[in-house]
Amino acid sequence: MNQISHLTLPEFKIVTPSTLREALSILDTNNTRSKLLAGGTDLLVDLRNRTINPNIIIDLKNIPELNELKQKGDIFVIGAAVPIADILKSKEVRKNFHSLYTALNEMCDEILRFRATIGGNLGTASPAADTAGPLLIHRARIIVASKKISREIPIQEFFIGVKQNCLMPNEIITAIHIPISTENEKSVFLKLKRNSEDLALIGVSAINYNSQTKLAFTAVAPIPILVDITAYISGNKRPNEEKFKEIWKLVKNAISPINDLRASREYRLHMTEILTRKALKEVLQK
Amino acid sequence: MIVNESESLIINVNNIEHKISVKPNETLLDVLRLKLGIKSVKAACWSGDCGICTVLIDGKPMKSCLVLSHEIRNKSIMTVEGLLEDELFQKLQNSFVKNGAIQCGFCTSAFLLVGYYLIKNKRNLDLLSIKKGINGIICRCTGYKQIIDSIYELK
Repeated sequence: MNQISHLTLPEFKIVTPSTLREALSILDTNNTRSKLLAGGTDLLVDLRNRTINPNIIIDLKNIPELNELKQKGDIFVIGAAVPIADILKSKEVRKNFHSLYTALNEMCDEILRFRATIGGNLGTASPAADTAGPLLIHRARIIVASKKISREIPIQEFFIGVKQNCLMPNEIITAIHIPISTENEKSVFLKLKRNSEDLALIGVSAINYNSQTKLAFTAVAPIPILVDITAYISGNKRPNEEKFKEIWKLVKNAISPINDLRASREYRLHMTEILTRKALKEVLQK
Repeated sequence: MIVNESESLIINVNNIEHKISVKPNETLLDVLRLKLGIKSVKAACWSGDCGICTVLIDGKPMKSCLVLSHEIRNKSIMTVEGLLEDELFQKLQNSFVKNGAIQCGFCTSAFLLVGYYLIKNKRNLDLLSIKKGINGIICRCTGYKQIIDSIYELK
């Protein structure tokens, strides 16, 4: 696990572009040998452990587009390099995206939150990424740019495998766009962990808006999973036991938890069911 | 500009400007301990877990093992050495002594810096927000209660 194998970092060059254009151009010519630096909370550990060995590190923190945090019409924009601590200060995030706020507020520890970023959390694409579940249920779109084009990726298409995302090697995540719902939206994020700083054993997110109900699961499959259960819910009411069993069957088929040193597959399945019940209780009416 | 070799960097540590030559792969922790000889900043896990290498960067606590030296250009770094004359900091030190918040002492500098940050920056500081605030630092003597009490006394 966190067994550090080297006291020094491997040798690399570093570049600190101040415009997105400059960063994209450097990435375009060096894409196979470069790594992007935002908060560095994963990158420096990977460098130290020699799991990566890049030639060039591109520090993205000074690029204005990646540091935006504001509402644009009915979309809320979170720049990829905004530290978690700053996102938590946003009243809009707290008001409009309850599950995302909860996830950020429970992520790592308060000191790391001054460095860790949402772009990094998604870019690393860990199956246990805490922001993934809330962003899935809040219908977020990932904005990415390359030297030639920029494009929007719906978050449900972003993750493709364990620590793998659909970005091309010459693309950078610039921002996350989350639609602000005018409907009465209720969302929740529940996380099971061993102690206060630990990675999620399970993350369950749930949302109810505009008569739609969706669940998202992290740390129980190779990628974060979104399950639409609208068909099983009537009138924004909590499902009865029979209906819940149908929902659980659907969820159980969608997830595939593993055995690892943090928890067994059986325990993860059992607790996912319990947290799913709890999450639905919170977002649906009696 | 791509920085390849060692580069001369002016960094401000404890209100003193230092001109030092650093390589891109050196962390802030390397620079503080090895180049500037500031040994109050401890090194242990090298992966952002234990928090005892915490320093204040532009007034915010950050773990220096996870910061590259080139990222601190134009930023001001504060360690406990730079706060020795600060009245609030002295009160916090005395509170640590009074409450027995120092056991082996290895984590003390980091807790003092975070405690100082919390008292200066958080309104309505209660026990829970102190607990959350110091969450990123590990005291292996497990003397957390005394540390929390020491900070709480000065809120």
